Amino acid sequence: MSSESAPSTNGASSTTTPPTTSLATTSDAAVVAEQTSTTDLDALAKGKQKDKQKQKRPEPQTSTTAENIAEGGAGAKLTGAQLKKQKQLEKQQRRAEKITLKGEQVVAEQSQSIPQAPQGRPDGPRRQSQSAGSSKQKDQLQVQLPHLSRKGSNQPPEPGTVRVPFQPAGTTQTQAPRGIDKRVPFVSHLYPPSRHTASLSNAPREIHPSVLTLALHLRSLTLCGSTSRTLALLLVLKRVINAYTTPPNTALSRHLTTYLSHQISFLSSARPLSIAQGNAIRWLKKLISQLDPDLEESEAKKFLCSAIDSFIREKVTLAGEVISTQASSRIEQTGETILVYGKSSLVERTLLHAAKDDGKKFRVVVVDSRPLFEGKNLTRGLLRAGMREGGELDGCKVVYTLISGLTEVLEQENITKCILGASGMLGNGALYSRCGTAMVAMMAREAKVPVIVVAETLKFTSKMAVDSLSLNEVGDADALVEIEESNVFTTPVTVSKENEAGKKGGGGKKKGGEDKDDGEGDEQNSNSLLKDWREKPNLFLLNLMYDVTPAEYLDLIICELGTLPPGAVPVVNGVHGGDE
Amino acid sequence: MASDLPPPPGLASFRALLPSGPVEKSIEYLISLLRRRQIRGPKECALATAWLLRKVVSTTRASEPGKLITRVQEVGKKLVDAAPRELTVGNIVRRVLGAIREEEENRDNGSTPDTTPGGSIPPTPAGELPAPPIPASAMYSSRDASHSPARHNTGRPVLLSQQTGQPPLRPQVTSMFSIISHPTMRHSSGVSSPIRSGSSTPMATSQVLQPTTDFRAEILEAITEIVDELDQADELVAGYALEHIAPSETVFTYSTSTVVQRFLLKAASKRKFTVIQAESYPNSHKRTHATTMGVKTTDDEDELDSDAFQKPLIAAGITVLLIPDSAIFALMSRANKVIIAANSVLSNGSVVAAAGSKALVKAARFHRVPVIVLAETYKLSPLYPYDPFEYVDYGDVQKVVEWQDREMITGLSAVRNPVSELVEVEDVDLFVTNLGGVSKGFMYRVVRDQYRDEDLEL
Repeated sequence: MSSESAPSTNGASSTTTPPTTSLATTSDAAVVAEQTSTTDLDALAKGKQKDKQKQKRPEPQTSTTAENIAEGGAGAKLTGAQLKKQKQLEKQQRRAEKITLKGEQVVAEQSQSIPQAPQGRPDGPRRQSQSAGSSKQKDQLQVQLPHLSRKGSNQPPEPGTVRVPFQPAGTTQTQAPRGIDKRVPFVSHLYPPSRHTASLSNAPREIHPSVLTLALHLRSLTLCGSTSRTLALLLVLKRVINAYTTPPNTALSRHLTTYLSHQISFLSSARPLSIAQGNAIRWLKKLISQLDPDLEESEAKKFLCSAIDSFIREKVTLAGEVISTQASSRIEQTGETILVYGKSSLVERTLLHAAKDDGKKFRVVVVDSRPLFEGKNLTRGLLRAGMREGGELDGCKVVYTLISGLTEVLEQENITKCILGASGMLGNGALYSRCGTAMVAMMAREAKVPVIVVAETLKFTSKMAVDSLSLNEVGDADALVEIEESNVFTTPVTVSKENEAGKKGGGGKKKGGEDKDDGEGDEQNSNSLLKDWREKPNLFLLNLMYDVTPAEYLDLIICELGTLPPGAVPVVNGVHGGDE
Repeated sequence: MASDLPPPPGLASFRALLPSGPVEKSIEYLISLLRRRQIRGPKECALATAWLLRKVVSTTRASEPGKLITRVQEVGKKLVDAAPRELTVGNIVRRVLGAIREEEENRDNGSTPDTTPGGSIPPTPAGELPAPPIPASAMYSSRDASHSPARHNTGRPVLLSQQTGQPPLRPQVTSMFSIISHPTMRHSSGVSSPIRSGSSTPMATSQVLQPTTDFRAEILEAITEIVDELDQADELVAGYALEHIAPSETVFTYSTSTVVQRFLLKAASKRKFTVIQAESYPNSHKRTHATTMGVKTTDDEDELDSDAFQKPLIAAGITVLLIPDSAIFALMSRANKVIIAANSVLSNGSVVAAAGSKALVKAARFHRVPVIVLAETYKLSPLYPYDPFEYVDYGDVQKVVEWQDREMITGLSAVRNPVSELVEVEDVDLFVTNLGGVSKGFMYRVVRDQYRDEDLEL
């Protein structure tokens, strides 16, 4: 069941999880999720590189965060036994004796889970290192962290270092003078309350290691996408519940909710919770508070875990199944051209369902945008599934463009449908989704193309918004800075440089040769055009994560309860309890 | 340092070659530069064309303007074919042809002074220029207007112009229609002359006085004026900035161009406002970033833009918010105005602009934000967008998906990277040209006024 849901966290993963016991499945699924998400990061950050290369890459190479992490883990592991001892000591000192018990339980559980991990990727050591040394070994980690962050900051052309997840929160500020407030005034309410977001160094003691792991993944956007974030959250919470012991003289139904709240607020300091995550948490808390106080603790935990499992199955796995079947039935057998934007796991599932299970032949036009380039992920997923010449699904073609080419593809590619994913369906029928979706929906409507939204009811909310700035999330503005990735490769660049030099045209002015040199130099450091934007007064960079598509641009919303017009979103909320 | 090396092919190298080489070689060189897009951009193409045509005119041995026209047409056709999407090439060719035709008329007039009465150009004191060789077009024309009913008795009622409070400068003004051809009006409005309307300097009347002198000198002078206009046009457009930007407004702009940059800078000299700058990835984001930061990139084609790019808006005290293209819709709600530059304006007022502009303009429409398009007169093209995608230009695919990305490059059935697209006139609220603001409903007329009917088809 969990293994069923694992692929749905990320379409790219075709890892088969061996059937295991309930406890192990949890960790397995989480591991799978993490692995695929690591791959996601790689694909995201190094759009250019082939995954195979990456997987074969030797571990000590420090180019990606995953490896950085692994290294950090290895460093921590050197003194593993000692650390454990120390940790236990501290625990005994500072917390009640039962916590120690829990900690051991966790460590045991994780060391158990590692050998079961499908592939021996560096996740194992990382996870262990975190569980062993996360918050307890602050001094040790602080020794390591500057080393990691130095690596990050010294290699600007490395795409992997655009966002170093394990960079301590302060690093960005130490690089740039904090004299100027770089928060855009009219969206200042969207910035996180303090710049000290979740990190290894500021994690409170009671934070469960797997929560910490998840937080760092969320923060670095290695785990991205509403569905996978929710899924990961639920799996992590399940583990937290398993490791939880009720303190004496308290009832589980009372104490567990507050205990979980701590964990969740740590997660939300890493990245604001998505609408679906919020809904899932609300459901879980309600469930806990309604537990029979007389229930045995172990019974209660078992009940909660199975409830989470069935929630995942109902709300994510099966819902995805139903929606993709439904949505795929809206695609004609032949002759359709479908416009999609960015990446949504549901949209990908729908397309693959239509192509594979229903054998439909269509074209997909993927529109993408900076800075996340999630569309590249989707494209790769589709291509790997065989939507290319000579592939399994040869009848299907994929076209890729950026959002600036939107108008052109809408007219030239004869788009017949537009399918969009959602991060949330707002109560007023508006769609809350990745930034840029509104433009795509608008232009599709402009071109008289029907716009279909696929969204699980888990994403429905009674929140409302009429513009994109009241309800939103501000991403890391520095993600907009580094865009030049081609420099990673040495050989092909020289070729393109020569081309460029030829093309440079009149750039020469009166100093021909010099200019040519300039040109090459520029090619290499052109990624630093915006590098010191923080030092420039009056200049702001804004990286909004979401936008709100007005209901008038949407034609159809497909959820697992059926197909609705946007106006019917509140009905689903009503039927479904929504979020009170 | 390495000054003995020839400049790389482009506008600069063309300019360097132009005075020395034979004219045929220059023509061939420019054609190849245009074909290879080593000269691109509206202003660059316009300048190169004007320079070349100046040379063509000065070297052609033609005893009469008619031969010169054929020659210019012939060269012009080649140039237009070499860069069919750089509409300014055709525009400049038409302007030059117009100048020659005017000279031809003056010449004809000089040789046969008593053919027809009625002056086509009012400042001519003699008022003896012939009627235009073609029937006057549907649009208003000063030539027609000054064929006043008083002289021709065509049955048009005579208006009592003497009592209309006209300054008594020119008692011949006899109807409302001829007000336009009044010298004072003419000077300020500058729209009535089909040829010289865009030029900042009004044509010296002395030229017309000696029509029989060497006509080529006159034409060359006219071409020089066109070149001057090319250089000054964006500054003139910027001169209207204060009329359109109010203090503490938020102006939304897309991509980057010299004219918008100058426009905003001009407004910034007096007013404080905020600019939201969308970067137009992937074709001009680097230039946008460079402009925003005040850095010079080698992506800048030549020296033309350098002065405008030296000073960034942020240095002028303007708050600039740089956003990715995806956030256009989200942030449009905060904008008061959208100001974009046109690559060209077509005869119905439709605008060819950077790819993504249409989505921007539609988003502005949704939020009821007025859209202002800046277009110098040399960008006004008499072509009509029968097929909107005739004017879409495509760029380097590598900017979207790198060649190194083998999986995507081999797997994808197409990668699209349009550079320009057509924005329909309905979505534009106002044009600002170097003649001032032009409403969208009137734009077609201003476009037509730039050229003579004979030259619409090259």
